[in-house]
Amino acid sequence: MNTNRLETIAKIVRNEKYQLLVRTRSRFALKLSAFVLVIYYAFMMIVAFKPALLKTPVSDTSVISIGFPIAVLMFVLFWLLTGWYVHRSNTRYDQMSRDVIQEVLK
Amino acid sequence: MSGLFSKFSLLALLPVTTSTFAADIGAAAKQPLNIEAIGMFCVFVLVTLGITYWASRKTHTTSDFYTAGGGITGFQNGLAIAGDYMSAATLLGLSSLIFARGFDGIIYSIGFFVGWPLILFLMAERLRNLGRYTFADIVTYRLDEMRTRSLSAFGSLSVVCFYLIVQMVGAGQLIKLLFGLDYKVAVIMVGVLMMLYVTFGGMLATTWVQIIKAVLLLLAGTFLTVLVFAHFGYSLDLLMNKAVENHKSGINIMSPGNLLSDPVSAVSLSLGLMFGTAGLPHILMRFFTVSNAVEARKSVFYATGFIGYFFVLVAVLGMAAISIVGTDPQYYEGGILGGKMLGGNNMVAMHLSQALGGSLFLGFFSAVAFSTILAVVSGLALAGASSISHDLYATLFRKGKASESSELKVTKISTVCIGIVAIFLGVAFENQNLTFLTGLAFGIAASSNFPVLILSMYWKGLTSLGAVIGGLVGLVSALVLVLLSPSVWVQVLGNPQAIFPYDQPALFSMPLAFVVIYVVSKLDSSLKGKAEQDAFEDLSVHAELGLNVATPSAH
Repeated sequence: MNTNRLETIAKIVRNEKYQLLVRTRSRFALKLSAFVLVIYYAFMMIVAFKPALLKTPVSDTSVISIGFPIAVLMFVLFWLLTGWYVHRSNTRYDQMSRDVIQEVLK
Repeated sequence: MSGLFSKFSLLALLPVTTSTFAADIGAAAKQPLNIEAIGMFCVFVLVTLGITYWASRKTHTTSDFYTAGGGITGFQNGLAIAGDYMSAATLLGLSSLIFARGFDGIIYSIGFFVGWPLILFLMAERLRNLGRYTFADIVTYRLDEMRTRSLSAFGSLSVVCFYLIVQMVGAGQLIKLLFGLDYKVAVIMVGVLMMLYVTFGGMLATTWVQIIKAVLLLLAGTFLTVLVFAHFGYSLDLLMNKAVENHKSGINIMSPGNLLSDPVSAVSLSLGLMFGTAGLPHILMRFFTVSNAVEARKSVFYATGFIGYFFVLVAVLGMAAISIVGTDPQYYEGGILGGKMLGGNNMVAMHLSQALGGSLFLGFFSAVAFSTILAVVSGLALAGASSISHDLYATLFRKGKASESSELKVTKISTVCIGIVAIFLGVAFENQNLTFLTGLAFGIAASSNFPVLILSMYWKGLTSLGAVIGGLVGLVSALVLVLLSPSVWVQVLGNPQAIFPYDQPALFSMPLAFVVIYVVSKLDSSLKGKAEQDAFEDLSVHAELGLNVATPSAH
């Protein structure tokens, strides 16, 4: 690796805005991932150990169990989370990353 | 034992492929020639060949060939990813599972879905920022070129190979059934079309085949769902009521049954699906076709939306079929309700399309199912060919000094070879139960490709030694566990009792790979290992900022 590149990298790594970007973005991504995994595995554990919980009908007159709306809700929720991540990345994080590049490489 | 056994084999059937057909349809009789279906399929083939001709005129460089020049938009790529992921098995296998088991089938569809948000949060941008043509580019960014690239190429090629065999056999069976063509003719046709798309049109043609297929599948699914709702007077309550009334399990189809009563299998399957998806070379490759991280993110957002929407449609179709197909003797062999379904147990969605839309719509639906298989095998062949020409030939064999034209030539030759091998294996395995190959493909993807890839992007401490040994341990343990599982040890090899009781290896082989990678990297005190750890900062900065996408390895 040439020294020029090493220097640039070191400069970026020392940059406070860069550190802030890395910290906030990875925290956000990890939080969302953990959220998805916790919800999904909580659901799977209910399925495995307490399936009766999902048996309750949505209303007195309906045969539909609450399991169905919960499943649909999970699809929608997870999709909305991807939307949230994309939106925040496109606005906040990309701006932060442009700022870093501006500051260090200019 | 037999009840337990059928539960396991059902579990094993699902992972994304058409393996279900191979298992189920094997003995099914050839159907009469279906003229409408063949006609509509011919239209699809003509259109896609036209696109291939157009794409071939725009494909000049290796970058064009592997990644369509990076010029695919996020929306297009999202559709193509959805097209890659919604295989014939998700349409036919999942709707049939919901038809047979009600809510249990829905639980599966969530497992297929949940990997996508994780791929977005943890991988999509980094893949785009660090990779060029294959995911091995990312692994070797700071690690030893020779050893880790061989490992990644080996991992990719095994996944592609196992997956392709399953798809080819499934394709042959399905086409025999839907179109009334001879099995061999069907396999050869799929193989030849795949070779034409990929050799001449490269990634651009493959992408468009996948986009068209995804659009057709979503349209056909939506139309059928509308027909379903019209049939039930637009009342979901009535639809569900009728399903409960007509299903032999009655109200129990509304809640989890015994399909997932074994938590170990359930968790192992879901881990394999989730992280296996994140280690499939043809899926990872799609991220290199967009121009930057913004588009990479958008593609997952769109793909997730389409895939989720499709799964909800499939749930409606499966539940509706219980009272429409399940009560109509004409869809059962010998007219015996609850007996063997005409054409095998995966034909539920097909029969539903005939019941509600007549034979013309059935023809259209069949053509869509066939195009689905073509799109998936094309993506696989392209990923395999790229691995051979880019990883093995250009980088390892020619040490990065291969000329553009020779690399391109090798890719095309590899595609043709892969196609020929796929046709031969497809014909050879006609009557085999190949369920285990799916478990194997996903097991290797989750236990070898994924751990090495994710740690190379996130863990500073990773060294080449750790990656190679851990990756191999993951690969071999997935292989051995599948070999000792009920689906191979008992069903294929005919032993009375499986040595390893689960068909899905991921819960065991994936953590094992992570532990070995960690321990070996920690113990690796070589200077080389130290240098690789020091180079992590460089990788990290490029991953975060996406400075110069086209810059190859830091060596």
